[in-house]
Amino acid sequence: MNAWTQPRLLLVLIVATVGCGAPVAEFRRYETYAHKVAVSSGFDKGLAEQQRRDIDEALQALFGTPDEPSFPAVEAIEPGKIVNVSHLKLAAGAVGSDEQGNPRGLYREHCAHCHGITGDGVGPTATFLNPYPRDYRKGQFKFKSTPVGQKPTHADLKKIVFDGIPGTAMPSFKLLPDLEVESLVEYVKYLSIRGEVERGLLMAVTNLEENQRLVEVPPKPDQLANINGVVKDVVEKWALADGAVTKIDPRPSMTKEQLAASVQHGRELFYGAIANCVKCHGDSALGDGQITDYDEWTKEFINDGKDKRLVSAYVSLGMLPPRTIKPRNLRQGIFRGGLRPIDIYWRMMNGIEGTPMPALATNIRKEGDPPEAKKLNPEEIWDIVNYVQSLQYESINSPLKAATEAHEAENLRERL
Amino acid sequence: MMLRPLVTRFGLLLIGICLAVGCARRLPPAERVQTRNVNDLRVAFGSGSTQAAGPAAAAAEPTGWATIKGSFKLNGSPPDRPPLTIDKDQAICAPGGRPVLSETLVVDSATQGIKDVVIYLAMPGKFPSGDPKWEHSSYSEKRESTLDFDQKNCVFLTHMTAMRSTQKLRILNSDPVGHNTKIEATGKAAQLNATIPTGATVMYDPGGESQEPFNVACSIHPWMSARMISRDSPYFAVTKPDGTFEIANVPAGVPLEFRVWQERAKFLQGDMKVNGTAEKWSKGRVKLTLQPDEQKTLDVIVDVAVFK
Repeated sequence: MNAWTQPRLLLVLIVATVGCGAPVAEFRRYETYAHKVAVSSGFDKGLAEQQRRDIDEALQALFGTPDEPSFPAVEAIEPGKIVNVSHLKLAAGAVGSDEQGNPRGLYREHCAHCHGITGDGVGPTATFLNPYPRDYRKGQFKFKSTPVGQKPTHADLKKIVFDGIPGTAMPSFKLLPDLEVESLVEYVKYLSIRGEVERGLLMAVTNLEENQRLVEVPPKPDQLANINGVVKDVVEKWALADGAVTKIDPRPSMTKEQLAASVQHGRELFYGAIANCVKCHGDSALGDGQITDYDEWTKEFINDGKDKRLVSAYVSLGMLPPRTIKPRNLRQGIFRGGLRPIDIYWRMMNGIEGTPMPALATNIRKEGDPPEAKKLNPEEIWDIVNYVQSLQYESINSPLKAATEAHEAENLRERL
Repeated sequence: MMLRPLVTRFGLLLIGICLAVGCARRLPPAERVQTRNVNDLRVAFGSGSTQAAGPAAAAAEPTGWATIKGSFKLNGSPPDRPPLTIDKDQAICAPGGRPVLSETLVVDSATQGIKDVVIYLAMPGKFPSGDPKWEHSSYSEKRESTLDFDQKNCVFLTHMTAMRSTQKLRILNSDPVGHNTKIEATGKAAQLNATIPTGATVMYDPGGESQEPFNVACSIHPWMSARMISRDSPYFAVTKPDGTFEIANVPAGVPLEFRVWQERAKFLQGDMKVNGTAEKWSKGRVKLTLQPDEQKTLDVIVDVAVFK
């Protein structure tokens, strides 16, 4: 035994015992929401560990694991209508391919580093990004064709994966084969529904007594009905999305004079009392009107963000340090939900879910409304769209002039 | 000394093997779930049935109607109401620089009554809405009525709204500035975020119930705040400024559970004095079985410590 043998043996032992084995991918618990519901329901010591385990086991029975996902059967909803399990399998598991060369693990290859294995928006790179990646588990998505409170359609989510989100770290996956994009969309829906069910089960536990079981093995009929009810409530909402799309009359075709007039009228509406865009987007539409608010993924836990102890409590449970939400600077020509007129129209009509952006849909004139009612005509939304689209070409030094002068408007028409 | 290079070589080889083989080793998952349980549960969830099958429990049915009447009062000196930060539209929202006080806990100085405590029936399972055994006929008239929800001087005039999920809310704006009303509903109640121009009205239809009260906010004036709850059952009340409340025609002869919530304390829990007797409340739960035609009194004195 010389002086080197012992350290060498030690090293071997360390490598052998600690090893560099990869842990099996697991879904993370929803710690922030568990804390929130425990506090707001008066569970001073938090939910019981047994109750948390009941949720873990129920979730795994319903949704499987990151390597072996499954989707629960839901009463009165056709299997495969909401989530296509065979597509799901392409996105699940470790990165690789099967014997036929079909891809596997697409989610981990393309998405998990930002959105996390669980879809909680806290992947390893998340903390470096601004804005932070979406946490799917709340089941809320910003850029969609349906009103606030309704789920996005499959096509809405696919558009985001396909086009990316300009102005953020979310890239476009246009170069992937369609089947792979499809399978990623299915996987996002799957993680989202799983997260919503987790929230529902945590909420269900708060209706129990302190040490009452959520579910036992074998389960009691009322426990089964309770959990299946939570799943049904979540999945049913996704089934309604396609029917909830906001229909839009086509954008009127205009001469350049008409367009100039439309832009001018849109400008008046932007500053006017009904649309009231100016309050948040600011006097010069630079997105500097209301900058102290938070989005709902954050507000749900920290309210107005003024209680620093509350903020640090949630940060220690895994929430990323909160940032305020900024109204879009409309002069940059970067629209996160897409720059097609229809995208901007949808944002105005439906509002943007999870953000302070309100919907104009309730302010649209319907037949039978008295003429003095403070409402917008549907085509006036197009005027605001036209104005918003013109802003990036308008000189910030002379905003008034830009919209009225004919040659400017002509210029604008060319570029639109 | 031939041993030394041998040991070196052997050691290096071992490290090499460990590095190569060891890396492929997969660690077992954390022992949070038991696979056997998961498999049993998966079979049990089966087709996703939401019917509580098995031997049907003899469902108790109400045998009459009773009234609950009472009050919530504070024991101790009420905490100060902090002024809110009004940083926009001051001329309208804080005319003359008058401070606008927080409404998270409002106590009447004359009676010590606590305003805006909400007490509501929390049925296990779904309330049989419209079933004449459970819903007294006196509630049918207002079943689908419309309530007003106004804002003036950038204050929601009703700070705590309790409504039925079948009712509608007419949102008004009596201010000369535009607002937006953001109803951050939870559970099955619908969300809303709409601009409310001066003098305009917007209708809100909750369409479903929420388990506990949720926030109502105005994004333009972030200090504005109210609370709201939507319930399938009509059995709820919000305390008046003097802390009193009444719920009439409550089903009698069946065990009922009510929940009591206040914005600052959330579900009321801790030491209460109910009708003069000390009680310990947990999670705002009050269990009652009323006799037909009973006039139940529920005078609750809440210690200031409950509000922290």
